[in-house]
Amino acid sequence: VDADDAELVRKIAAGDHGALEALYRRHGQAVLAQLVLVIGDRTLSEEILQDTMLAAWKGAAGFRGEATVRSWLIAIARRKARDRRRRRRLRSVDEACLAESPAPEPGPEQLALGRSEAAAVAAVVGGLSDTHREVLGLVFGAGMTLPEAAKVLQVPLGTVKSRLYAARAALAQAMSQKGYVR
Amino acid sequence: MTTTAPHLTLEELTSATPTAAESIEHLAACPECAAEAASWAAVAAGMQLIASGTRPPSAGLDDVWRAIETDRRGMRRPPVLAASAAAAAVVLAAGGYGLTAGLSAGPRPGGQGTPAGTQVAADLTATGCSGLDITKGVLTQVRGQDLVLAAPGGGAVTVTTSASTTILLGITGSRGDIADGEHVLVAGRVRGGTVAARIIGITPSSLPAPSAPAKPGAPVGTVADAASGRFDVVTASGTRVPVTTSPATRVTITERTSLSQLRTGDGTVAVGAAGPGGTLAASTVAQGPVTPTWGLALPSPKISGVPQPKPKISGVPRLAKRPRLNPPSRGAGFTSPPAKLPLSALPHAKPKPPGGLKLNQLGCAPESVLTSYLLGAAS
Repeated sequence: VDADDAELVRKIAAGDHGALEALYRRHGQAVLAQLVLVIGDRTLSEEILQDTMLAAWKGAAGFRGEATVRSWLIAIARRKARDRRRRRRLRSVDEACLAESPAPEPGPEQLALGRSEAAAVAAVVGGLSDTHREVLGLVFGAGMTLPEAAKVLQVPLGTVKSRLYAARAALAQAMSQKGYVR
Repeated sequence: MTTTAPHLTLEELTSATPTAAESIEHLAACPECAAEAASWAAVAAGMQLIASGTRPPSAGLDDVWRAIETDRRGMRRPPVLAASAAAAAVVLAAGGYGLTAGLSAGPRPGGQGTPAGTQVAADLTATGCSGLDITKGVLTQVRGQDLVLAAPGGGAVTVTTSASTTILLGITGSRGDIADGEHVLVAGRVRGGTVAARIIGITPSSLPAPSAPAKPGAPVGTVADAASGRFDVVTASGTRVPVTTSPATRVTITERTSLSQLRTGDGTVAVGAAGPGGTLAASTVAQGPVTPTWGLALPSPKISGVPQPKPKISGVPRLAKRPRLNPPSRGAGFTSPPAKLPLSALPHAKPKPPGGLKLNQLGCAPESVLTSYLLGAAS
């Protein structure tokens, strides 16, 4: 855990408003980006971000430092978002099914990804499944390690890996269909 | 050039900058891993582009501080966080309470409810709270940020929304959605101190339950000891109210949502400030799962052309109250079509609010007004 982050959380637990503001400035963008990526609704994501920061304020004393503060915040945000999504009965990919999928061998499309522009990748990410967007966002957007992502997602490390491969395959396929990679 | 060393792991390939000397060496010597790393790097660049383009709102933590301050004072939550909570209760009611009353009632939009020669500018109703009015109707059109509601009387209300408007949507749930810690409103019959639930509304669990007054048969609070067919509602005062459910119990779940998620053709309730030309600047808009609400008569809709003594908006005549000639009795009254309104009756009669509740009974927060209205309708 980043010492500065841990100190901020300790101060938040002691009622320091400035520390929460600092935490928000440091991680708010990453948390919001992850929410928008998964939820796809900016307004709703902003509200969940506020809920998350309020929960962080109330729950700071319970932060044990077993994960990074960013992971902790994103895990809170994920619970908030999942609660709403569960209720809304949104279509979602069967996670168990995904978890059991073998990692596909990289094909020419996936390897061609290496020549792709970031903007082209960003343009097709929105069309991926919720599960794929989420794991890509955690690892590459929020900058988590694979074990950190596994902890946030509450799945084994191997599942994170298989999801990453599957997400990349889906991304490559989508980019190929749109003519971004050949 | 190839290498006999083990290929890089996914952790190494997905790390932004491999730092281990052997990893760097391997990448330089292994075309397969280099291609893999380049592929992941492209994915990373795309994801980082997305993340960098998402800026947190400029308001920062304002809503959080308001919520913390309100909690500290033991008050209800303010808007964004709290408005959703309390008004959520409302949608429950809009989706649950209201709909039970309104499904088969009233004239259809554009229909027969308006007396000939009467131009109904809006089916707006004063709430008894300064600057707050309420309206209901079927959502017929979404024009950018504006909603057009077809009022039961045959008129139309344009509901304007902004970024600060709370939009709520109810969906149909099941008894399995009732779990400990959920915030609920219950409507049912009291038998021996237990409420046999007819309708249960679940509000966002991340938010506190609204502090509606305890009513026999309509407890509001948090679920505890949920089990098959029963649970307790712990009210704000700490009272535990036993509730039983049956397959006939209807469950409605309320969500904060966005404007784009509202559906045309569904009954919609809005609370806000009346504006010129039959408009309402909404603080809260609620839509339920089975929502035709035209049977829910509001107590005092305003009719154009009849000025009120105290104009609310300069230059715009205040609309007079119109009586509801068939005030709803419990249950069946809400399923009766609203009466047609003779012009001669407009300025004089003083209608009773639904269910005997005043719209400002729970306070003058927009969500309180909505709750009052819908609890009244449910009673």
